[in-house]
Amino acid sequence: MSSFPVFGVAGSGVTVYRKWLDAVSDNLSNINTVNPAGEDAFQARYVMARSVQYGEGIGGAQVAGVELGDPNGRMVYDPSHPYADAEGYIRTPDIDMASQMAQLMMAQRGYQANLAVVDRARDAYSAAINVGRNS
Amino acid sequence: MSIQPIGAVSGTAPVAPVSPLSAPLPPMDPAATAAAGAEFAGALQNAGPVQAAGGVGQATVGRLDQLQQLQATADDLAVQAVTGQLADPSQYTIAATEATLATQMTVALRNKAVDAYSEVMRMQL
Repeated sequence: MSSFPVFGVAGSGVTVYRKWLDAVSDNLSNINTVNPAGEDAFQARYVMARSVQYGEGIGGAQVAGVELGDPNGRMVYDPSHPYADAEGYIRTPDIDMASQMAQLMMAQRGYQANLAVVDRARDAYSAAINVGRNS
Repeated sequence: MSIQPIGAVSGTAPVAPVSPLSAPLPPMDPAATAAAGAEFAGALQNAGPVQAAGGVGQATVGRLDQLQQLQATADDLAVQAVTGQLADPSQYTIAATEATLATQMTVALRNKAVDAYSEVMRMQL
């Protein structure tokens, strides 16, 4: 049992948001990935966060798993594309850029918020440790 | 009024010599002695300062073990960070912060204990 449990809790939050950032980054990097109409499209990654040992007084969050988006994607008519099928369609991922950018902001702010908790906790603990030092 | 001179001591009774014991002292009861000893030992055990001094020392040793573990974790993460194996630099910085705070707290507690001991040793008897 650590003397400073807040670091474990905030650290778990940081990890969750970092994985969310990774997922958004994966989605954005594949937003223009094209597959032939006969294959599944790139499936968006959605990070599922859960609380650690819910209800037992031990805080923190963890990534319970990654859910995948719609494998059907969107059919786009682009007959000049090398992957186009006989009717001229290709399959692009069903990822909304605006939604991904909003998630990116949320993940970034969540990451920063957890690190702010670490910083504030350090200041608070330092003050507690230094009580009475100048007497 | 004149001061009366002190008169001579009229006479003192002679001191009686110590009479010898009429009967030898009864031997000590071992059971009673043991009970008294146990009671004294119990009082020693319950004496706050003695127990607290040992408690602080042992607790400090325990804290040092804990501290060493935290420092080892931070060191491992530092090595992983510089070798590019660390997924997130915050893992290292958080661990280093925790190790620093634990060090400061252990040192603060040790200083407090030593201060208290010195204060007691300076006491004039």
